[in-house]
Amino acid sequence: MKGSIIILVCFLVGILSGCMGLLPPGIADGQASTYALYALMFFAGVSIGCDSEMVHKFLSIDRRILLLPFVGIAGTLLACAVVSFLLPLRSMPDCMAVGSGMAYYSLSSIMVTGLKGPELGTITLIANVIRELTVLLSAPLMVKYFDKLAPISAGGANTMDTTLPVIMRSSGNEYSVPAIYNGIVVTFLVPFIVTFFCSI
Amino acid sequence: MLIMVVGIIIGYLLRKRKLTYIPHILTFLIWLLLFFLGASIGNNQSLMSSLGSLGIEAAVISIFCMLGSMGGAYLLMRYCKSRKNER
Repeated sequence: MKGSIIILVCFLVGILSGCMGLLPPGIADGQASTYALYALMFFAGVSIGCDSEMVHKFLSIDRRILLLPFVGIAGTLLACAVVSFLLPLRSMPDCMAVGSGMAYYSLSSIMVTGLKGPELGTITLIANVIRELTVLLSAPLMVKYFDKLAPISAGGANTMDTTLPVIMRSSGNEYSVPAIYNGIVVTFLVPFIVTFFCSI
Repeated sequence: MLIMVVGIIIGYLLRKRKLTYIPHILTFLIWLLLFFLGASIGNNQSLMSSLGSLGIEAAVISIFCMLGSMGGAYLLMRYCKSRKNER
């Protein structure tokens, strides 16, 4: 819990300093976050590599976990269909197009903007950024209430990079392989499902 | 991805040593990453100005998306565990 609060504070300080233009262009345009991500991936790799029990633990995970990306997408779309009844301004396909971004905000927001216009595109961007940030902030809580696969399926497309270290920490190192697998499959499927829900 | 493979190999080579400081580095880097992500969001004027109007709808959709996917993950985990107990 304390860890999540520190993460949230870091994020808010980042937003504030970005808003006020305090930062040099290299940080504000997202270059620095790319390098931070590379460093994060490298050290996540090191901690996988030196965990000698990981292979054994990984082999004890059920093969049915291969269904995870599909279950995650299905759950997301179902929830989006439900939520469309709560949002009078948005139709069911619109909500499902937003949700089918699966936290892959860079690609999905551009696609939705192109196919459905800037307003829904902006909603797609914000909704999927929120999704990624929530996983980064509350992965331990997700594990507590929905078990160890929850942050992986909630993390959607970026469980193979941005959210991977947090998932490894809260679910265990042996869940790094399912997380990477989930990220790759979802990343591959996102363009197809976004196009589908934008066209109906 | 490649950089992660390099990390795994180095970690494997160093596994004899106690790398107790790695979790601390990871924690610090997560803080740093979030700070940078926040900075690039805060710097995006058009995004910040539309947060008020579209942000609430986006947040509602986002929360439902996560609940839906986590519900799916929870059921899958239960399914996996129940099959394991049968054997």
